[in-house]
Amino acid sequence: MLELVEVVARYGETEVLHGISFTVPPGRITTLIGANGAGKTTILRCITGLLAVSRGKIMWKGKDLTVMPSKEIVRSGVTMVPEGRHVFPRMTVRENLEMGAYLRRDKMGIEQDFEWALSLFPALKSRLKQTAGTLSGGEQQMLAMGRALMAAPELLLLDEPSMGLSPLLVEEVFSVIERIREMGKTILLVEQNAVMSLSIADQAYVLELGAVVLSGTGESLLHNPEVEAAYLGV
Amino acid sequence: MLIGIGSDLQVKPGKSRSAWIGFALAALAVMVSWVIQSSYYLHIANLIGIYSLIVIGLNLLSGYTGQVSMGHAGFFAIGSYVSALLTMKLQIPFWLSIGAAALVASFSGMVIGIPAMKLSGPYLVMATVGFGEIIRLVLVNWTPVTRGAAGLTGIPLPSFLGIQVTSERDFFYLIYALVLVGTIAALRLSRSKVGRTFVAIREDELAAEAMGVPVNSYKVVAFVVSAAYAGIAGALYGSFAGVASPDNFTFEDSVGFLSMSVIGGNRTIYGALLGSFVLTVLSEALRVFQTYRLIIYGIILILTVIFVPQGLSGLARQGFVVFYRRKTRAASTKASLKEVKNR
Repeated sequence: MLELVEVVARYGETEVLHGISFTVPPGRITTLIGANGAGKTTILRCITGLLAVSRGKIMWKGKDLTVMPSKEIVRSGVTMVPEGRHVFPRMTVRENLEMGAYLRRDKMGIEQDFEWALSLFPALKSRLKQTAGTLSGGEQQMLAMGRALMAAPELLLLDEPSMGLSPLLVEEVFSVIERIREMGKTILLVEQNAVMSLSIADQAYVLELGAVVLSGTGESLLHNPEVEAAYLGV
Repeated sequence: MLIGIGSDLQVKPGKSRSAWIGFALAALAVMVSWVIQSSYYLHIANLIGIYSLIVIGLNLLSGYTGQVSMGHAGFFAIGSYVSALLTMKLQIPFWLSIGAAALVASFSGMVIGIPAMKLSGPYLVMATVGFGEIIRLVLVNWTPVTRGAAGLTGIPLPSFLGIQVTSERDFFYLIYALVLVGTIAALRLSRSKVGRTFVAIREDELAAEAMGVPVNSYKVVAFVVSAAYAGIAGALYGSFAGVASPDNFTFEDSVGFLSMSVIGGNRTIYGALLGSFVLTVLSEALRVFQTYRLIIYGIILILTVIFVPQGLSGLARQGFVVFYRRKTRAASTKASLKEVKNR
């Protein structure tokens, strides 16, 4: 279980997270929804050690991630798929996937996860030798997810996986996210597409200006009148 | 398909391919040394060799890792002065002084690599320019040790394994032996996991970090390795020219090295050899236009970046791919024609 306790973070002088607390239960999909600037991406950057936390703790498997370097955080089983895909454009699809296993030494396990990633994203299979920059947006998103899975994470952080994708591809990506949950992985999903993310989430939090303002199961928030008015455009 | 560095990395050639490249280069060097009789041409060839070493290092740093340096004359100078001073004042054998030059240059590479962790793009370029200038100013002003603007003269000729190096031809063998070792080492590095990590950092720092790559440490490593190449080249240059003066290590020289790197193609190792060859020959041919050298470099650089962004080595590779495809296509058409005939 991942637990954030009173996390405060700032960019320079500007405080963007004002004491955030929430938990991510194991083996479930937890989603953070909220408008632009609510601090969703900032939270992921804090969890992965890309941004220093000014106050508060982020507990994972009995350890405080806020004092660990990114490398150790990845090694402890937390991997992020950054927003906007961020594949290595001039490396091949295969090399991109292999980079995901950067910190691993278990050849057998890497091989198995490679096969598993390809079975989740069959579109990548025929493109292994192609450079990642030549893939379509949807394929790049899948590659970024496949690459993250190659790190064998227990906790997968997804930052706006639906961004810039056609509705059909969004459905596909979300059904894969559900399949990843079936494999026993814990997922923290940050989304602007509230309808989609609430409909697959077990647990959900609504973020506004750096603070959690609502929480509940995905289902309950989906039918919450406030959420409907603010995020679902009903 | 051979597109970009990515697919180059995918071929895992291992020892045999590096060995073949090494063998081919060595054979080429020996043949060149037989063919060239004029000591003027040998002199140019030697300069090309020395510059190649610097540019190989520069390619590992800027082409592979994506960290552009416009201060490599600084590392080159450090290698030159360290080796010259050690051989002149302490009579240390040449091969040891080369090692010391590499070591001190690497250390300075680490020092400049640390601020580089925080800087990127134009800011990093500015920092490296500053570094190069600081080194030059130290050389000019630290007169008791460096003898200021006059520079060090009478740097002894090297002797290697009991053989005294005296003629241009002797230098040719010494320099190209080191170019060979440097090329193979760089090829091996570029195809190792470290090399691939360098490329990942160049391609997308955030993604590399997210995969657990200690990006900052790798950047420092790239600077250290790159500086070591320049340091070794510097030690060679000092004993080769017999003098080391601040005039040999200016901003203009740093720009020259970067131009060689870009024009040759900085995403391959052999691009370094191509780039140093083309620009050194060109600058000799254009000697009369010495004053306009930077302008000419600038124009060539701009044209390269616009029309052949992968540099000459990228162009050569593209040519090879086209040729290869045509050949296989021709072969397959022939085969299918035959099949039709046989029916």
